[in-house]
Amino acid sequence: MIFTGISFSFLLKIFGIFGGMIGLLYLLKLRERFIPVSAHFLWERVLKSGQRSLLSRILRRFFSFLLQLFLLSLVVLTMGNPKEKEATIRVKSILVLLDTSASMKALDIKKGDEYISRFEYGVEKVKKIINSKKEKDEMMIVTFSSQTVPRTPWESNQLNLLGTLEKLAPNDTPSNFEGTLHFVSQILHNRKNSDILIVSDGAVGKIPQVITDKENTKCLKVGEKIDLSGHNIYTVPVRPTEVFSNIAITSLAARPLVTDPDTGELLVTILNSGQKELKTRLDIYVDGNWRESRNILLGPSEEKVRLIRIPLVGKNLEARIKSIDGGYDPLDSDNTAYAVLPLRPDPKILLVSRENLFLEAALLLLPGIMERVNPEEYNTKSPDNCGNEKCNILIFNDFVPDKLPDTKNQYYINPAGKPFDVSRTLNENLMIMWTGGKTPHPIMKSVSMKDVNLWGYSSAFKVNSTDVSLMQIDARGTVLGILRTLKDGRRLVATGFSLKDSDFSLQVSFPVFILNMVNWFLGTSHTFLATYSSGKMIEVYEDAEQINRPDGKNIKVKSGRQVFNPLLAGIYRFMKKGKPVREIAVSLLDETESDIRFRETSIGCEKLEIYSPSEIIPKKVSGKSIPWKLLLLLLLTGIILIIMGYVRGALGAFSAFSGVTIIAISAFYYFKVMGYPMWIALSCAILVVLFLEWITYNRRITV
Amino acid sequence: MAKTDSYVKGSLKRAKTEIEASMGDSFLSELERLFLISRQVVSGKIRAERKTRKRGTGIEFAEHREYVPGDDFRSIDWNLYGRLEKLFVRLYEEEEDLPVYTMFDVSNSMAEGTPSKMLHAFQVASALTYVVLAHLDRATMIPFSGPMELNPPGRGKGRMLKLFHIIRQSELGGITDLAGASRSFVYRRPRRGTVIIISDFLSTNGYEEAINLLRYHKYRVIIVQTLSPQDMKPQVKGDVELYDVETAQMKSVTITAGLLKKYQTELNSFIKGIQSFCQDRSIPFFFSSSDEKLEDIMLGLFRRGGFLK
Repeated sequence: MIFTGISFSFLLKIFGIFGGMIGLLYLLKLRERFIPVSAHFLWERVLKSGQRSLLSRILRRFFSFLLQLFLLSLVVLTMGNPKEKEATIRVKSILVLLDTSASMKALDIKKGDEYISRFEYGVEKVKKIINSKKEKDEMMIVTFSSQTVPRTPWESNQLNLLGTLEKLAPNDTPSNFEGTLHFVSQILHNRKNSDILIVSDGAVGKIPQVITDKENTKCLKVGEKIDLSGHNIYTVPVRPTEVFSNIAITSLAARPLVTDPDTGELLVTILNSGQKELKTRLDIYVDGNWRESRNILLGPSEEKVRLIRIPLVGKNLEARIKSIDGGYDPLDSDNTAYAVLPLRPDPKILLVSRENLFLEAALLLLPGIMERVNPEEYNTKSPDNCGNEKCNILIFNDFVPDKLPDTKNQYYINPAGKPFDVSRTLNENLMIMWTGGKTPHPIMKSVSMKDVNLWGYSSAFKVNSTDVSLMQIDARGTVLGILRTLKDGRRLVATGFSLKDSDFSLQVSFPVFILNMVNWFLGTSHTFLATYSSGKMIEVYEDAEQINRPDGKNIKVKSGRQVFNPLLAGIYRFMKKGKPVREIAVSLLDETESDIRFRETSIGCEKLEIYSPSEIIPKKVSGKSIPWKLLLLLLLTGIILIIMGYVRGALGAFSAFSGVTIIAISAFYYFKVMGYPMWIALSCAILVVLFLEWITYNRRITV
Repeated sequence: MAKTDSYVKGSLKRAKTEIEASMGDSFLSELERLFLISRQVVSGKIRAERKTRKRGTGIEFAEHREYVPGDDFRSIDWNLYGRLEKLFVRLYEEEEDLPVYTMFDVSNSMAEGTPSKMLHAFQVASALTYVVLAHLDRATMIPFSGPMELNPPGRGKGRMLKLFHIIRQSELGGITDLAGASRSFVYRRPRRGTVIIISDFLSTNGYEEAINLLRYHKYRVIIVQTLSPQDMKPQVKGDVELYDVETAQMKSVTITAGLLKKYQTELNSFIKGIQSFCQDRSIPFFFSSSDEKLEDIMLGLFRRGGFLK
C-alpha cells in the first residue's frame, strides 16, 4: 500500500500531533471531576448496587482512549488516500476512441432547455475521463469515422489533452470501425493491459471479429480477427435522452437519358429510421432554384425509392427531405444530398482517316460536330480545329501524327507503334477474350468482343503501370486495347488492330464502344457519378490549383491526379486561376449513420462493460464475489461483543472495544470488496466507529 | 483536603453573603406584602386570641380542681365546698399568645445548590416569622446545624430587625445534627408553641429522634423540607469524584444514566419516608425546591398548611 495523498512522513506527524492531543485529553480525563454533593449517604446506597469495579473503569477508559487513537489513525490514513501498491505503480494506458461520424451530429441529448449533439456529450464524457485519470496515466485520443485519426500522442498532460479535445468536430462520414480497430491493434502492439474506451452512440457499422480476453468461442466466425487480447475494452455510451424519428436521403443518382441527353433522371432513396409514420416532402433544387417537389409518406423504418425526371439544365443539384407534419429531426446532415449534373454531351471530333463508313456512321450517331480529314491533309490543316471551334476529341485511324497533339482526348486505331510501345506484332487470326471481366472500364461497359474476329497484323501493347488494359486476347497479358493517361492529363485510347482487318466495326458493340469512349472522354458517361459518398476515397485527374471545400476552406493541390477523402457533404470545387474547372458532389448516403437509434457498442458477441470515469462509482461487483457469510459473521460477532460491553469488569470493557473495532473493520472490508477506493472504505469505517462510539458512549459501554 | 475545606468555606461564605444581601428593605417590603396576603387568607381571626390548654387567670371558667396548699384562696369555690365539704379551686382558661420557633438549617449541605438551600430556608423562615410577629404573636428564628443557642421569642414586627442582627452574628456551617438541635432546644425549656423546622433533612443521623423529642415535649411541629434542583436532578455524567460537603467523604464513581435513575428512586423514597413519618404523627409536612418562588411557597403553606390559625 502506498499513499497518493499526503506523504507518509507527514501523516506520521499529523498522527503524532493529534495522537498527543488525544493522549493529553486522556490524561486530563483521568483526573476525575470534583462534584460536591449534599447527600452522600444516598449515593452510597445507589453505588452499592450499580457501581463498576475500579479495574473495569480503568480499562474502559483505556479502551476508549485506544478507540480514539484507532479513529484518528483511520482519519489520517484516509487523508493519505492509500492505494494498493500494484494499482498505483502501474502507469495505465488509456486509448480513447471518440466517434466523429455523422450520427454524432444528432441533436438529441437534452441539456437544460436545449438539445446538444451527441458529439458534444461525448466530448464532455471524455473530459471527465481526462480529469479523472491519474497524473502519470498516458492517454491517446483517436477519432474515428471513415478515417481513424490519432489526435494526440501518448500524453499524460491533462491540459494538452483537453486542448486537443476542444478542436475536434464531427464530420459527415460513416464509421469504419473495423479500420479503427485495426489501427488500435497496431498502436497497442507493444503495450499491455491498456484501457480502450469507445465513446460512441453505437452506430459503427460492421462489427469486426476481435480477439479479446473474454472471447466466447461460440461466437467466432471465419475471417480475419483483430487481436486486442490483453487489453480492457470498455464502452462509454453516448445515449440520447429522447428518441426521435430521423428521415434521410440514403442514395442519389443522376444520369442523362441515352435517347434524350437534354433530360436527366434522378434516383432518390429516402429512409425513415423512426418508429412513427411521417409525412415528408422531397424538394429538388437545381443551382439553388426550386425545380420539383414530391410528398412522400414514410412508414416506420420504411425506405422508399423515387425516380424523378428533370431537364438537365444546370450544374448542381440538391435534394432536400423534410418532415411536413412538424416532427423534430435531430440529424440535419442526411437531409440534403448533393449532386453534380452530368454535362450535356458536346463532342467536337476530328477524325483523321480515310473513308470508313462504319466508323463515320458510329460517330454520326453522336450529337455535336464531327469532321474528317485524310491523313495526308492532317499536317497541312490546322490539326485541332473542328469548324470554328477547337476539337475536344481526335481519332486517328491507321495513322499516327508525327507529333503528339495537345488535345486532351485521343483515340488511336491501329497505331502500330508510337506513341505506344509495341511488345509483340501478331500475324494470325485472333479473338479478343477479355474486356475487363466483371468490372470493366466504363469504355468497355456493355461491349462484347467475343464474336470479333481479327486477321492480318495486330499489335500487342507494352503496358505501363499507370495504363489500363481494355482488351486482351489471352490471360498472359497480350493487350490489344489500352488507356493511357499522361501526366498532363491527356488521355489516349488505342486499339492494336485495323478496322479493315477485323469485323469489329460490323458488330453492334462497335458503336457502343465509340459512344462509351466519347462519353467517358467528355465526362458524360452512363457511369457518371453525380454524387460521391462521404468518407470514401475519390481519385480524379484534374488540372487544378486548389480545391474549395464545402465549409469554405481551400486546399492547395498540384495539377494531375488528386486522391482525397471528402469528410463533409457538399460541393468540392477544383479551381484554377480563380475559376472552377470541375465540381464534385459529396453526400452522406449511409443507412447506418441515418439510423440514429442508440445501440450498445459491442465487439463480436461480447457486450462491452461501461467505463466509469469517476472513482466514486464502483466497478460492478457480482454478488458472488462478496463474502457475505464472512461479513455477516464479523457483524454478528461485533454486535455480540458490544452487547457484552454491559458485562462488568475487564471482560466487558474488552468486549465493547473489540466489538466496535470488528464492526469498523467489517465496514471497511465490505466497501473495499465492493470496489470502492480505499479512502471511501476508510471514511465509512470512520463513520461506523463514530456512530458506534456515540451509541455506546450514551450507554456508558465504552467509557 | 485543603481543596475540599476551601470549597466548603467558599460555599458557606457565598450563602452568607446571599443571606445578608437579602436582609434589606426590599425584602422587608416583600415580607409585608406576604403578610397582607396572609391576612386575606386567614381573614376573620382575632389577633392573639389563642386558647391554650394552660389553665390560668382568665375570665372564662374551665373546670374545678382539688385544692392543694399554695393555691390562691380567691379561687376556692365556696359554693361547692358547701355542697361537698371539699375544697376545690375554680380554673379559668388562660388567654395567651402562642410562640412560634422557626428553626432553619444552616449546615454545610444547605449552602449547596443554585440558589442555595440556605438562602431559601432563611427566606421562608423570615416570611413565616414576620407573618407571626405581625399577628402579634411571639416568634423567633433559630439558625441551626447541631446544638444551638436559643433566641428568645419576641413580639411585634420590629423584632425582625433584631432577629436579622442575631442571624448576621451567628456562625453558619457544620454537620446537620437534628437530634442535637432538638435536644438543645428542649433542654432550654422554652414556652410550648409551634416549632417549624426548615431543612434538607439530608443527615446520616436521621430526623426521627429530633421530631419525636419535640413532640414528646408537647411542641407542635411543622416540617418544611427544601432541596435544590441539583439535589433532585444532578446534571452530571462520566467519571467523577463525589464529595460530601458535610462528612468530607470522597468517592470515585462513574455516573451513568442508570445510576442517575437509581439515585432518583432513592431520593424519592427518602422524601416519601419523611412524608409518611410526618403523616403518621399528624405533623404538617411541606416540600419546596430552592428555586421555587417565595410567594408561591408561602401561599401554599398558608392555604394548605393552616398552621397560622
